[in-house]
Amino acid sequence: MGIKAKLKLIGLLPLLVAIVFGVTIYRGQDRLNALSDLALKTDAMREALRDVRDVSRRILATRDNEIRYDGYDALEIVNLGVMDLAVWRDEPGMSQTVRELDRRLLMARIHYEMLDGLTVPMLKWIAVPQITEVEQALMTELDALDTRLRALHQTARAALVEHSERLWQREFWLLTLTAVLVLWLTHPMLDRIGTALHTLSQGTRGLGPDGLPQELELTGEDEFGQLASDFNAMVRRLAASEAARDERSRDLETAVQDLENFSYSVSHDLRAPLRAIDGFIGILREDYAATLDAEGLRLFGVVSANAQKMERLIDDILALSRAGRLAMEWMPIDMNRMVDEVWSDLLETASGRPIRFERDDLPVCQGDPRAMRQIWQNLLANALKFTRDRDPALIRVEARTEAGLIRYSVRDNGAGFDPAYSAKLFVLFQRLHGMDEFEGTGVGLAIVKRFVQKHHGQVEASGAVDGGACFTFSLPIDLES
Amino acid sequence: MVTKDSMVDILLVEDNPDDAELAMRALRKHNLANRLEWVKDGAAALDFLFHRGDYTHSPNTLPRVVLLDLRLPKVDGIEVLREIRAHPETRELPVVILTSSHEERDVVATYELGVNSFVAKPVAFDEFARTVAELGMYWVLVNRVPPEIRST
Repeated sequence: MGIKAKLKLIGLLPLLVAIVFGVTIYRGQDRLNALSDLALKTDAMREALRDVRDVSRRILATRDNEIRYDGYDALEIVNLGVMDLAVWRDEPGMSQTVRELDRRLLMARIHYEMLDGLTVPMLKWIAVPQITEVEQALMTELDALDTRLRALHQTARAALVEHSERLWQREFWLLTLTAVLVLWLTHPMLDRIGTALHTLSQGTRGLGPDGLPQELELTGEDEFGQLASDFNAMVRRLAASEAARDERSRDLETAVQDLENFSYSVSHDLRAPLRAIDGFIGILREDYAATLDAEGLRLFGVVSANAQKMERLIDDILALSRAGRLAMEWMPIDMNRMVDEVWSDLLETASGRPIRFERDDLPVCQGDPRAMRQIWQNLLANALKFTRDRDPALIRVEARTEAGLIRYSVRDNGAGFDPAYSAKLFVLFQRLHGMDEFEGTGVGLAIVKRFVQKHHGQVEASGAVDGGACFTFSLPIDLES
Repeated sequence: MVTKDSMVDILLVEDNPDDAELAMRALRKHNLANRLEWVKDGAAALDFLFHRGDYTHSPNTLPRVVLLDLRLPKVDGIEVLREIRAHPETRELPVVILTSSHEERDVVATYELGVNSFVAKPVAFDEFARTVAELGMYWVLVNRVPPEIRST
C-alpha cells in the first residue's frame, strides 16, 4: 500500500473520532440537561409546597376565602411536577420514589380539602380541635414531601456532577487514545520517509567512478520504492546511452585516424610518381633536346605542367583536410598587423605592376591566428590574382561593426564574377573562371568558408562580371555567446 | 663494392628508385656522386652505419651526411634517426630528412630527435635537381664536422 493511501486512512481516524466525540457529547449533554431540569423542577415543587404551607396557615389565621384556591393551585403545581417525574421511572429506585410522592401528595391534598371544608366562616367551636388535628396531618405530609423532594434534588445535583465528570473523562481518554493511535500508525511511515529521503538525496547526488549516477538501494512497494526504481531505470538508460556514445566517439576517432592516415599517404605517396614523371621528362628535355623538334619539346612541357598542377591540387586538398582538423586556439588577434604581414608576403611574389592597396583600421577579433592568417592569405591572394589585368589594381580591406558582428571585407576592381553563380564560389573544386584565364584549384574559398564557420561566422561574396568582387566574412564579437 | 678503406661522403636512404636516380643524377652533375652509397631501406642504412649484416665491411669512416627518407620499408626514417642519435659513435652524424611529406607532425617529430635539416622534395624537376645539388654541395663541401666522427 502506498504512503499516500496510508496517510489518507490515518487521516480518517481523527475524523471518525471527532464524530464519536460529537455524538457522545451530544448524548451526554442531553442527560446533563435532563438532570439539571430535574433539579430545577424539584426546587419549584418545594417552592409550591412552601406556598401550600403558607396558604394553610393564613386560612387558619384569617379564614380568608380569596386565598383558598392558591393552595389548590400550588398542590396542582406539585402534582404536575410529580407527573413529569414519570420519565425517570427507568432509573433505579425512581418508580418507588414517584409512587411515594404520589401517595403523599394525595394525602396532602385530602388533608388540605378537609382543612378547606372545616374552616368555613361560621366555624363551630367543636371543630377547633379537629382543625388542629387536620393541620398537623397536612404539615406532616408536606414535610414528608419536602424531605423526599430535597433528597431527589440532591441526588439530581450529585448525578449531574458525576455525569459531567464521567463524560469529560471519557472524552479525554478518547482523544488521548486517538493521538497515541495516530502516532503509533504514522511512526513507521515517518521512519520510512526519513530513511528514503536520506537515501534518495545521497544517491542522486553521488556519482560513480565513471562519472554516472549509481543505482539506489531502496526497495519497497510504496512511492519511494517506485521513485527509486524509476531512478534506477533512468540510471541504466543513462549508462546505456553513455556506452553508446562512447562507442560512437571511438568509431569517430577511428574514422578521424583513418582520414589522417589517408591524408598522410596522399601527401607522401602521390607526390613520388609525379616527381618521377616530371623528373624523367626533365631529363629527356635536357639530354635529348637535340633530337626533339619544337612540337616534341612543347608536348613534354604540357606533361610537366600537368604534373606540377596535380601537385598543387594535392597540396590544396591536404590544406583543406588540415583546415577541417585544425584545433582552434582562441586568442585576440591584431588584424591590422596580420593583414599587413600577409600582404607584404604576397607582394614579394607579385610582379612590379601598379597596385593600390588600402586598409581601414581593423578591429581586434577573437580567433585562431593560423586559421585567420589563412583566411586573409586566400582572400588577398585571390584579389591579387583577379586584378592581374587592371591598371592600376585597387584592393581595399574594410571593416564594419554591426549587431554584435564584425564584418571584414576585401574589395577589388578585378575580373569579378557573375552573381548568378555566387553560391558556387565557396563549393570545393567549383571555379567560375577557366584554367586558361586564371589558374587555381577551387579549394581556396572552400578553406575560407570552413575556417570562418569554425569561428561561428559567415562568409558572403558580391560582384559583377568585370565589375570587381567583394568578399565579406562576419565574426561574432563575443564568441562565448 | 665498398671496403673498410673506401670513403663515403653521402649515404642516400631512399626506397623509391626513381627518386634515387633523380637525386643521384643531380649530384653527379656536380661531381658529388662518386662517393655515394644508396641503400633502399632503414634496416640497410643502420647495417651500413653499424657494420652489420651485408655491410660488415662498410667503411669505418662515417659519411659526411645521411640523406634520409621518412617512409621506408622495414625500419622507417624516424626509427633510423632515433637509432643514430642513440649511439655515441653516430650521435653527431649530420642527418638531413629528404621526404615527400609536407606534414608538420613529421617536421616536429624529427626536430625533436635532433635532425640537422628537413627538406621536402619538390615535385618540379628543376627545383628538385637544384635542391638536391645544393644540399650535396653544402653538406659535403661547405659544412665542417668535428674531426672525431670522421676519424677511424
